[in-house]
Amino acid sequence: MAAASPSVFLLMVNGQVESAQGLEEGISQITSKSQDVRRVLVWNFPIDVTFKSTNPYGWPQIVLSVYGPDVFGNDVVRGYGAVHVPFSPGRHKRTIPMFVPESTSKLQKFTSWFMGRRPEYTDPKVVAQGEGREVTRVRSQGFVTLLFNVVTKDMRKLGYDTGPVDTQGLQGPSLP
Amino acid sequence: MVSEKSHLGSQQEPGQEEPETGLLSVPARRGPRSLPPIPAASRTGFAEFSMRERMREKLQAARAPPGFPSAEEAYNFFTFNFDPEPEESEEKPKGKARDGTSQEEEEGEEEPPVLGASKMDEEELLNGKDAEDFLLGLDHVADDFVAIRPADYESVHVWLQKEKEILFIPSRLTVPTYKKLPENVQPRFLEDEGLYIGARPEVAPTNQNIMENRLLVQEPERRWFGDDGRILALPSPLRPYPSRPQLSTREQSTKAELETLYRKAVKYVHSSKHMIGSGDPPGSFQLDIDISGLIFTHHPCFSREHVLAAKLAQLYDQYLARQQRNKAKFLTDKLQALRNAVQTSLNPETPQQSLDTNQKTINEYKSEIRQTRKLRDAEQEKDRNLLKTIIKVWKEMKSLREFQRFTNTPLKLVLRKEKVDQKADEEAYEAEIQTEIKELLEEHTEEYEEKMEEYRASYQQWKAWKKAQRAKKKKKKEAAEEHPAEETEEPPRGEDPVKPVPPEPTDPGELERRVRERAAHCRRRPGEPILHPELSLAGSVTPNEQCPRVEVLRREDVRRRWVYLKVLFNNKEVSRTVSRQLSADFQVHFGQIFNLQIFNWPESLTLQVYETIGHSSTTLLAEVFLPIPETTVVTGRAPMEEVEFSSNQHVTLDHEGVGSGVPFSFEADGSNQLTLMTSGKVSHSVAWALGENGIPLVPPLSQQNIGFRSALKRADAISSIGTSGLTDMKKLAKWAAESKLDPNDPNNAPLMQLISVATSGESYVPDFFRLEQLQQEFNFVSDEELSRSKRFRLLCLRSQEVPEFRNYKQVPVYDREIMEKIFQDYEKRLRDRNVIETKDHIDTHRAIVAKYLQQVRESVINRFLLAKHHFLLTDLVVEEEVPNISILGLSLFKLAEQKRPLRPRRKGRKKVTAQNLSDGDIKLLVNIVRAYDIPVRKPPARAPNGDYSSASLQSVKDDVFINIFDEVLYDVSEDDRERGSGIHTRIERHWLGCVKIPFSTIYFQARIDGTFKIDIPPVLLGYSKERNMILERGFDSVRSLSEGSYITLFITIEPQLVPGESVREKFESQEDEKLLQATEKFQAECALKFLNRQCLTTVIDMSGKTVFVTRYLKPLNPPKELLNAYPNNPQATAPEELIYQRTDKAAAAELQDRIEKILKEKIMDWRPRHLTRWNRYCTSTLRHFLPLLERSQGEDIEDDHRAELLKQLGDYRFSGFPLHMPYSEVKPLIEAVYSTGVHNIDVPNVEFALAVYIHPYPKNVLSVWIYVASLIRNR
Repeated sequence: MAAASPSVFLLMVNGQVESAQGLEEGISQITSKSQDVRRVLVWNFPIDVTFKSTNPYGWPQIVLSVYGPDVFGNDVVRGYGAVHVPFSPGRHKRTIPMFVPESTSKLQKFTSWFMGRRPEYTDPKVVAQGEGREVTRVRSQGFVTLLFNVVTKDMRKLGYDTGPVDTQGLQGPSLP
Repeated sequence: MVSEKSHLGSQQEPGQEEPETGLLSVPARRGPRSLPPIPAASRTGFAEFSMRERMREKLQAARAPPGFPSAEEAYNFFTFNFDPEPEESEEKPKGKARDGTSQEEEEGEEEPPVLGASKMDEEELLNGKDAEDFLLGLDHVADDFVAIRPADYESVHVWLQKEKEILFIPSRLTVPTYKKLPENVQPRFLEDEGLYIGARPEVAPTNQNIMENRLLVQEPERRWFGDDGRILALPSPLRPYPSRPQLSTREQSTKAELETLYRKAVKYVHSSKHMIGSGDPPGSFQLDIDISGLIFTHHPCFSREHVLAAKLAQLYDQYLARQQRNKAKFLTDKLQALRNAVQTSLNPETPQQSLDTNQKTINEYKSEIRQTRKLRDAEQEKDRNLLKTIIKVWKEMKSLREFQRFTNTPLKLVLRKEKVDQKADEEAYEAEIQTEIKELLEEHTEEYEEKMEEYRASYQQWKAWKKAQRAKKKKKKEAAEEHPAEETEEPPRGEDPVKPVPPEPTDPGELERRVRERAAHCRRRPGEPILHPELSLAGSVTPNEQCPRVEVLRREDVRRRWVYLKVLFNNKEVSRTVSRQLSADFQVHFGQIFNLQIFNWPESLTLQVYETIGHSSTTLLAEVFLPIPETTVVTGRAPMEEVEFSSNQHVTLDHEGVGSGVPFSFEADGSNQLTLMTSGKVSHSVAWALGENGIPLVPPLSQQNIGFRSALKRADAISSIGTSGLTDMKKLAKWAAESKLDPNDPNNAPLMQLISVATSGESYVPDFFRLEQLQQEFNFVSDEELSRSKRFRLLCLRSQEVPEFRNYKQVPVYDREIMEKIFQDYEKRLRDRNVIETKDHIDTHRAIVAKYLQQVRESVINRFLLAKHHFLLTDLVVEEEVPNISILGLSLFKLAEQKRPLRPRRKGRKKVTAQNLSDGDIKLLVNIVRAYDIPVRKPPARAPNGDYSSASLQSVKDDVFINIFDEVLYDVSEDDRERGSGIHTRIERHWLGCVKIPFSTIYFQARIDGTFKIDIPPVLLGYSKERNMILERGFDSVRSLSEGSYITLFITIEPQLVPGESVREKFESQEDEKLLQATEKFQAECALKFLNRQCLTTVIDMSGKTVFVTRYLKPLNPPKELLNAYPNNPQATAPEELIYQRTDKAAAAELQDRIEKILKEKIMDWRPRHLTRWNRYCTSTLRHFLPLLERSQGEDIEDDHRAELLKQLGDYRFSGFPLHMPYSEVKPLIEAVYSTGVHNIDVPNVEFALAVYIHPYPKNVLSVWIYVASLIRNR
């Protein structure tokens, strides 16, 4: 793996999420591998988004595409991945396996490697939906770990019970 | 003498017993003739009475002739001289007493001889009356001594006879069944019919027979007998087996029982029955007590507002609970169902089992209806009262807040009004009332008839009695001539019948009034909106600074209070919670879980609530007892529960707090006092902990109470198989079989059913297969209800991307918040899909075509949406082509390209996806580079200024119009004297022509860069299209080629947008695959050969399928009208020719008028602030001119036209132009007129002229000419 790789994130808002506030699309800084034995790439990139909907259809997903320079110094895609934003409140850790589309032939593979123009998805959102994936071939490479801190509001009021019972606190009427 | 004594005795005795004898004797005498009318109320009383009465009658009948006193009696009665008595005795009763009952029973058979003797004695007595006084004492003495009589003997036979008359000895013989049942009724054995009859208690048959006989005589109504003819009996309460453990009393002698055995001494552990077996490791059982928090429902520190708030919250909870159960609705539905049932059974067409049973069921239904209605009314009233109370308390609270001028609680009640359909509501209300009245009336009528029947019967009796009375009176009257005083005795006693009052018939009006009154009382008035209270904590509490001193003191006091709980296990304190401050809303949150490692079986779990005020001592407020959890309740699954507690402490406070146990009042004068005790709720959960491997740490059941288990085993399921066993069907079934449960016992019915259902699953295999057989159970609402939900519908439509809802934001949470009109447009569109709207199209043919086109468009879009879901690799993945020489060469060439730094170039910009753009973000950049051959103003116009400088960007729908105007400055100074001091000019813009570019073109092309021909009207009055010869050299070549005017434009969008996905024009096809491949090849070759030429091989047909374009290619003849020029065309004989219908000229003329009218109205609409005058004269001139234009195809007539106009409208300054367009719809015509900006002239004395001419061609092809002009009168 190359020394540096930036990542692009995109919050896929599909379906019926009705409004979102905050950064929805962006590019993180370029990071390099750590010097210790773990050799991990750390971005520590905060994203703060608020979603609002009355219907859970099209629950938001985060789509990540990671780019990094290849041996010739061209920026090539290193992985795509997507995961749903957890729906229960609290702190969640998600490790997403990443993958890239494969070239269609050996020759293509060689030329793309040589020219630094590896196959990419036309739209990174493709990885957040199941449609049309059957025409592609992908290769897995690497993982990206995401940490979510989720706060929900009024889910219960809308009739969605996502939390465990014990987080609901005092039950029954808590009026004086 | 003897007889006299007895006589005297008889005289005195009745005197003493007068009230009784009097009472009895009257009916006794009258008895045989007629019985008194019996008051209906005392039937049983009468029954008892009549028994004795009858016996007496019999006796009497044997003795005396009925009714009349005997001769002696009469004689005695009138002649006897009585001693004055101390009591207020009268002659009459004494006389009567002669045959009084007491005497009869005393002396029985001996009476007649005595009577005979007394006759003699009387005579003697009369004679020796004077001597009587002297002999009185002696007489008695003599009597005492002298009477020597044989011992009274009554033969056994007589005695038996007597006893037989007095006593009733029921027979021991078995009573035949028919006697015990009503006539003509067969005994019915319920047991044979499969009904459960409990075992009857053991009773000896003789006893039973005696009882039956007795009951038959005493209770002739047979209500002691069941349908089976047997005496009624409860099932035997005795168990068939003793429940005490039996001693083994087999062959062994008592010695064996007393034999001693050695047992090792065991250590005494107190309360050993709660001890868990010693074999288990101690402390391996654990009880988790989760104390979540505590809330006071009353506390001494409650302010008045808090009291109301607590009340309100409680009422609201009650309301929610009631709302959830919704009993009123249930009962209303039930009532409806019952009414329907009655209706159907009343319906003569329904098959009836028998008239009798039918009538019976109807009666049952009716009584049920009555019951249900009563219940429903009660429920409705309760609901309404509750709502009223809630509103009342809330109002009180509001007024209290207003009065005290601060707010203590964040409680807020919102009353949501649900509008109701006034008319439907009223109808329903009225219908309900009418039904009710009808039913009540029916009931009352029935009741009335019953009463009437009763009345008639009793009236008959009364009449009979009256008659008898009258007869008696008459007789008495005769008698009363000597003793008038006796009359006073006569008034009828309590038993005498009163004249029965006829029952009053029910007044329907009164009934209706009552029903209405009740309905108004307990039901919502029709049309009154339904109120839904919603309690929230959205209010704000007044901060301390704004509160009066007493309130601040109260708040401080609350803050000084701390609360903690002690946990007591088997009455020993095991732990306690931390001490927590009481919050302002009187809640305490602990959130502590205590894990009790237990050793003893839990006997009691208690929480003690302690309160500490400041630094002073703590007080025990209350004790709360928690139930020991079931063994199946384990941590994590136990729900939070609330336990209430209350304290009897008395607290008086010197601030706003109302205290506890002391009366306080909301009123100013201290009335309506209220006393509340400290109370609250602890929310907690108690559960058994789970061990490491998920096994609950519960003491084994076997050790809990082994002593008496086995004994109960057979009788009680729970003790036999344990609580957990209840959920195990096999165990339960086994137990049921073992203990021989009676399957017919209703007590066991649910159990039996459960077992049969559960166990039958093993053997019963249905011979069909049902897919998703449990689906029904998982449907949380029915399909109809789901489709009725507006929210669901809205979400579905949005998800389906129906145009009206595609980007609908924020679908409301509740159905009630979704307005019905949201769907109106959509529904209208759906409705109109097949309805052809002729209004916008003027002629129906075009309307049909337009509709058809619209449908085709829709279906193609749908096809496209479907096709969008088929992906090719290129749609998803961008992959570089393997480079070929040309690309390589080009890139090499680019490197070698000469640098031209001064040549301006347009730079590439960053692309932006459309989704994060909002309104106003997109700008259209239009750069007008140059235009040429623009018509120029003719003299006498002034020197051109600002020519073609103005361009207006009008984004009407999807088209960009670029209109070219000539801006003219007119001097409008009316007075020459003003010219020196100021310039007063008016700017007029004259439309010259336009260029129309659809927005979608710009969007897809990203930029437009090129020269466009300007659409200029054929006639532009006052402008000449002659070429300006003073032009730069460079454009000569272009000019020579062109006829019209041109404009060079550069248009782009800022920021640059990512073009939307282009429609892939590959749809599925039914053409031959080989041919398709060949066309593709051909297309590719063509593209290589002619780079700029578009080559089409396939097109999409109406059903959205790819079809060869050649299928649509066929030589067609033009219409004959156009071939006037080529008269001898041989092609006319082609077999499949297009038939050209002539267009209806009248229709065209009509259309022409309509368009003219519409356009005139539109122009007036566009000038809302100005008067729009129409110059009719000019209009008619123009109308005449337009056909000429059509004929000449817009050529070479301009000069003539102008001359004519000048001649006719010489004193007007005229500016106008004809627009020529093909006709499809009215809308483009309107747009075209609008874009010319004719209406923008705001000169006060402007006049307008508008003429429309339509020239019809075959096949409804219409050529439309619109002449618009503005006229300003020259001065």
